[in-house]
Amino acid sequence: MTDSLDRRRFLKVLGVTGAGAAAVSACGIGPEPTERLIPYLIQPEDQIPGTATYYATTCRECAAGCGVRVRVREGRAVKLEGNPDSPINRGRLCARGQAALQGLYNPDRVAHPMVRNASGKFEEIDWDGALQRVTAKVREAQGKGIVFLTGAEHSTFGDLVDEWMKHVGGRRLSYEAFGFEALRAGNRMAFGTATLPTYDFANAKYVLSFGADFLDTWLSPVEFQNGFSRAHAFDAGRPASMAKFTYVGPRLSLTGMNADEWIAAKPGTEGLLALAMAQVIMSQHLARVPADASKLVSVLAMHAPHAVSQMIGIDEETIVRLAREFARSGGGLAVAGGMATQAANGAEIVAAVNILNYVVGSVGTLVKFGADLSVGATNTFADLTALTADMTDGRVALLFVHGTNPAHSLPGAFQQALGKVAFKVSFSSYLDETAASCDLILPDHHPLEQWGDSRPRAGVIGLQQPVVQPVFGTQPTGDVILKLSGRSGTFLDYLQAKWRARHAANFDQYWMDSLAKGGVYGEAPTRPVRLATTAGNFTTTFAEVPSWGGDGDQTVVVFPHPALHDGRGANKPWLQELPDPVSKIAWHSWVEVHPDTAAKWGLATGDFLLLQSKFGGQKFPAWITRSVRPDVLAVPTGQGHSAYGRYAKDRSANAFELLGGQATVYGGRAFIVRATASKTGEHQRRIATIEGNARDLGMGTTEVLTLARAKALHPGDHPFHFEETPEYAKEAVEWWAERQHDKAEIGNYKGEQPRWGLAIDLSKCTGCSACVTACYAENNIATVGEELTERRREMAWLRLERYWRVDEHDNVQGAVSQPMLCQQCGNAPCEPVCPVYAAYHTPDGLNGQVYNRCVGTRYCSNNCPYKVRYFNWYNYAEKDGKYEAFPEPLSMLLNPDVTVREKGVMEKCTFCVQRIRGAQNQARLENRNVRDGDIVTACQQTCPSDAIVFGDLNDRNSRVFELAGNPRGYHVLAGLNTKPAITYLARVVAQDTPGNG
Amino acid sequence: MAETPSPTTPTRVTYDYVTRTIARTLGTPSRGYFLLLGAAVALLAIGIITLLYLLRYGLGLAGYSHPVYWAVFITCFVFWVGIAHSGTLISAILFLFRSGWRTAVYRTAEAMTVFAVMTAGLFPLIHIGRQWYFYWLIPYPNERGLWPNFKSPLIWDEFAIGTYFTVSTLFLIMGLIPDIAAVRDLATGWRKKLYALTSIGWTGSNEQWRHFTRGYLYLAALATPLVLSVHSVVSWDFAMALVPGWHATIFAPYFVAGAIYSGCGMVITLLTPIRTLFGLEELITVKHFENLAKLCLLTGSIVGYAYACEYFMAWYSGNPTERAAFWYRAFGPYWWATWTMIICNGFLPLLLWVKKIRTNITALFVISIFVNIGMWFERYVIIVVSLAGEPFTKWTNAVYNPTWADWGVMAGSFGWFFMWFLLFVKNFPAVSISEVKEVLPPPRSKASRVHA
Amino acid sequence: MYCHYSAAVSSEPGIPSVQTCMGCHLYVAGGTRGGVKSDTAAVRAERAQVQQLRANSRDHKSPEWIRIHALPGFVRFPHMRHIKALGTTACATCHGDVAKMPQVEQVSTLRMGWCVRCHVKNNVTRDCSVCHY
Repeated sequence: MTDSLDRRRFLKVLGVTGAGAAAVSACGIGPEPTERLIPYLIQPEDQIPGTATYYATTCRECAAGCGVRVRVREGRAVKLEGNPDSPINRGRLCARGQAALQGLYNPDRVAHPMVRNASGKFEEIDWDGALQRVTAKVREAQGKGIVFLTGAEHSTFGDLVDEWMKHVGGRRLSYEAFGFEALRAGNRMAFGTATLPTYDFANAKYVLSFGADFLDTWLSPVEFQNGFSRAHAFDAGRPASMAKFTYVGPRLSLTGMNADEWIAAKPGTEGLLALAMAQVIMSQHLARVPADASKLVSVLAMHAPHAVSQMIGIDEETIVRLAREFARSGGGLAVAGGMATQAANGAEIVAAVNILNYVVGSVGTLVKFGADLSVGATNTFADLTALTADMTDGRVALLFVHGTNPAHSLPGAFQQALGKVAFKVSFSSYLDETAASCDLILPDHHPLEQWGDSRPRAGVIGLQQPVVQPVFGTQPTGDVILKLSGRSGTFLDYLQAKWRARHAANFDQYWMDSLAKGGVYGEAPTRPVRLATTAGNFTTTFAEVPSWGGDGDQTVVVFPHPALHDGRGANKPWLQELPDPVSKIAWHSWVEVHPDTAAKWGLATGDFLLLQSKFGGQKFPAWITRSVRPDVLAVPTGQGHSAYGRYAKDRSANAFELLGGQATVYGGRAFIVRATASKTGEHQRRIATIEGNARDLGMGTTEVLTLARAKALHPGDHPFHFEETPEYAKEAVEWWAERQHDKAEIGNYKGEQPRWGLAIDLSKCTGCSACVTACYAENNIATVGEELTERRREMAWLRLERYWRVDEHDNVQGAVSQPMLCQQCGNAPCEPVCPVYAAYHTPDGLNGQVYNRCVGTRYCSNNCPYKVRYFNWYNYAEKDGKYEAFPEPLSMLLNPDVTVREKGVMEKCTFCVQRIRGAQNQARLENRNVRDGDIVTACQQTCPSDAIVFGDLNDRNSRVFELAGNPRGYHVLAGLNTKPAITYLARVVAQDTPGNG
Repeated sequence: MAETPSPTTPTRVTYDYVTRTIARTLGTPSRGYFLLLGAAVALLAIGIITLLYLLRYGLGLAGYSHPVYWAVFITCFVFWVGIAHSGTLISAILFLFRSGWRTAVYRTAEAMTVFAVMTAGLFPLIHIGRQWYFYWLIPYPNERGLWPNFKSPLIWDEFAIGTYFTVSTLFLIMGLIPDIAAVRDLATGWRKKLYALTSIGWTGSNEQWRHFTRGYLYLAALATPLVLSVHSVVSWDFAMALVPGWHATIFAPYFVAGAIYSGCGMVITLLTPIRTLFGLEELITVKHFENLAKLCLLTGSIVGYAYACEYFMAWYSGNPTERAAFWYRAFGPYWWATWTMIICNGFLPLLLWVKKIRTNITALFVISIFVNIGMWFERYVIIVVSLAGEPFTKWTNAVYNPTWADWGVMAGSFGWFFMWFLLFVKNFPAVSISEVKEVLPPPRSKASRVHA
Repeated sequence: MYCHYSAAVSSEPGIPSVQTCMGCHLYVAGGTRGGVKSDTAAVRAERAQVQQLRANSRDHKSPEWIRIHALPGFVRFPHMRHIKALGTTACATCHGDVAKMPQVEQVSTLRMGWCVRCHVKNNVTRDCSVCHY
């Protein structure tokens, strides 16, 4: 670590080392000011200025527990990357993980302890004073009820809290806004175990999801996406290629839009469908059904397709067909979650799906109990409602809140209950809704600043180490608790003690190894499970479509926002500006309305709709889409904060307002309510979307193949190939290309020039948008805010275009997501039109963009058919400017290897040229050539589904060269003869027949 | 008498009359004049303030939205370059063709040319992102050893406009010399000094006249090709790009015709007030207006043909992107702009077939206003609409709306133009004395006696 | 290379930490000329500075260096590549013979033309994106 430095020093040193970051000038004129350089006192041995150091730690943005490696430059964490050693995320990372940095350097963090004074305002207080107060409060509250509320905290820290609470006679509760109570209850019902299994998507031959959004918000998204894309991607080599994916749910989520087939069953009837399928499979002996399943026959008989198809709203044939596909695939994996399990009858739906898995024998092979995902160990929503009741009745005298924000996810009840608690202490590092209504705030370190660990599942312990010096005057809550409980030593000592207890022999070595690897990664043995006696006990209410709480005429589905999740992401501009993968809307909330419904109400996209449930009302701008059932309205959570910093506060509406505070029978929370919808007459002038006019699959930009077609392809085929250059133009074009090359010869490196290229497999890309955020992080891309996003001024070098796949009746079947970035054309339209050679062709085949030569005529963008060039309309780096993108200390995460662009220049994807140059420099130092795989672009590095491959097209042995020759490969707008360096591999869609027929 | 009177001017107009009427235009300005001048300067002020804002905060203040990266500023640029053209046409080409009627109007037209180019030239500088680095567009030997990219149409523009400005300015000044001399002899006070200076010692001796006419002829010959070249080059800014709706071989002739069309429109717009303001009815007669109108009719018809041709080719080529682009143009969110342009430029000029309208100055004035509007929209449609609805990547299609910054700078450009023009007509003969005399019957003894 | 410890391995030469300085100045008090003690104003100034430095390291304060060689913005200069290619003695080509300077001064313009001329002379890359990205 860099003990000898404090933060202010880093900032000064930055002046020397961060050429890029430092070169933020108002308009670039005038001489460089005299700089004063502050040297280190003692040289940190593990740091070389100008070269990055990587530290392994664990991501705490959600409970999945992905391993990350933090790139540290001169003591500043500048980028997060997945830790390849971690068995969970295998070196990949999602958008939320990438954005953790903006939590660390968030300008709205609570910089020091704060106490509420007599006038009800917060005022600064020193740590000792704060701790004394707490000790006093604890003493007087003992016996009157002390509660410590944490997030999903299955970790040594959690143990410490438990110990302390035991010591002071209190209790700990852990709460996640989107819990998995239904999953646990359902598992108990079917198999008699309330634990959560893990799911082996990679080896599935058919994936059937009942509302489980395993690609965006469900359990362990990165891990599941990685596995899913292995199974679902088309790979001519693999026999079982490809696993068909069918999605059952009222609306298409990010997960849903990747489905080959969408079954829009009535919300709440997913369970019936599962049972019906199981019935078909058993009655028609489609699979080797385990013997003990026979006791279900009678139950299943009641749910035969003909009996239930009415209620589900799906015709019998389809049900039977699905059952056949699922069983015959010989590796069917059904998962239930999300919408389906947040219904009042969620538990039974899960049980039904478990049965479906059981009858095809997937339980134990693809559904692996024994992993005991820790999110399954959090307290239930029922426990929280109980707590709320206790608080209201004054049975809680002292409340500690850490790592969770119930005041936002439970706006009504919990807020009021808080008022009844005598003294409330928040450890939040941000002034979120809960903290705002506490009496004392003891800001915690950011996970990247402190020691810790987390146990996401049996066998896996992610270790968490401080990678930078604390940015603010915060203190790790672990230390604070130790102090409060009057124990000596820091939390690190406590942590190591716990670890020593687990592995005493040769501990130091063990510890150092774990630190280097980022944790202890083991495989938990799979625990076999049998059908429980309760498996068939479906209540009668389960049979008919449940009537949701309330009497409104509309069914409103509240779903977690893929990026902002339960709202915790809302204070991070990267996540706010990241367009939702489905709606492509950024910076504000929306309600999804089916065109038919919209027509009925005379509703246009952007019109505000007031949703009034019996619990509360909120208004949202309408987004009219065919990706939702006509009888359903869908609203995302995440927005509508009343506190939580400048990026989150007073932005759009809070969907949790619509939900009730009562727990369901299985102790969960119902996220589907009845509500009345009424037009308010207001209209949002422009929805902040990046979608232009994408009604059809873009002309020759997005290619889709049917599975049959794809299987028929042989190496050397070119289904999309057509003469890029018409005969008559050949000569001229060759000549032009030649000339371009001659130009490039100037300043040739020694030897043959590379031609950098990219291959993007649309069959793997899910549209999760992790690459977009990774690109923002790597390339210092400015976030422009809602106003400018509405005006289409977002700067995303890499954007994801989402094109719907529609059947002949124009019904949406799913979508294809296509990453669109600079194609680095070999024959680029942008180059000849630039009057100053700011856009030019580099010897290694890139379309160079020299920022400090650019005068900003913008001709290059006009002439770019892909429209992937972005202009700096303002100086987004201007201190205190209206559109400042990196207010202190956000600026500390700027990548010093990349120039911060100034007002008036054009910018675009550079293929991470800084990484290319870095690798070349390194190779040169080691007297070798750059090897395939040396250079990994930010988007490729983070892609959870491994859809992006970078390399040298002139290297006959490179991965990218091989992919570029794939028969599915094509160039976007090849007809324009731009000769792009990016090869897209067409999306393959499995029709009615499952992967291996 | 036997000799035929001049085709356009009544016989009672004598040398003497000409000199006096034109000299009168330089007399003490009326209140109306000052009002006009004040308005122009006010507009200019607005423009300058807007420009300062743009420099401080960035082009974001204007309405630009991805992918519409060129908009009102470039529209104005093309518009003003277009305006310039008819001037040179009338003064140079018609001179070479020896068409007598031009004499009374060419000075105004020529002046208009120079000031229009001065206006147009500003826009490329205003519209770039880092205005303070504009000089990087100019080829000059520098320490970095960098040169501009001569492949870029923008660099061609630079030269086209530069040349055009130099030549037309020289042409204007040269034509002025004898007239300045003429008014010099009548003027008094500071003006006399000014004219004495600017008439560079013109005495009207035979020798001077010989050199003058010869030189004037050469300059005219030099200016003539520019009329065609300059706007062709400007049109290549678009034609050289691959944007559907830009990428068309017809652009050069189409733009040139459009330019002259708009130019004539502007000449009429300018002449009408001047004529009445300075009482030049005798010199600038309906005949002149009719001839200008005929010119409008001709070029307007060419423009109309070009429109038809564009749409026909879009359909006939069978190229889906071309078709999409033009469909979007006509029926997309910008249909109103497109139809304004088609009506004003395609159909309006057809009225001029009617002699009644052609010879009715009020009617002509109204029409000329619409011609200007139409031609502005033509450029707006070509530039903005083509970009907004670009069919290659429909995903990025966006609707663009100008903001106060766009209008501010545009207003400024009009202020700038009219300021110069008004100052000119008050300080220099707005109608060529010498050349008008050329087309008059030489004075007879009686007249000469009066003259003496 | 002792002071600018990372110049050969990194794009940044690195500023010597006070610790590094003291590596020598613990023993070298400055102010001798070829072993001969002299007592000119310059020498006294020199001693004073070493004293200052020692004081700094005693009470853990960092001195402030004044930057002499600053490249214009937006340009990258990987030191290690140049040293790799031209050897450690090559520092002088850009920085001059610092050892002989009583007060370090900038000997070359460090402007683009200057860079390019050298690249042309040595026939190495003149590609913009090698330094500008």
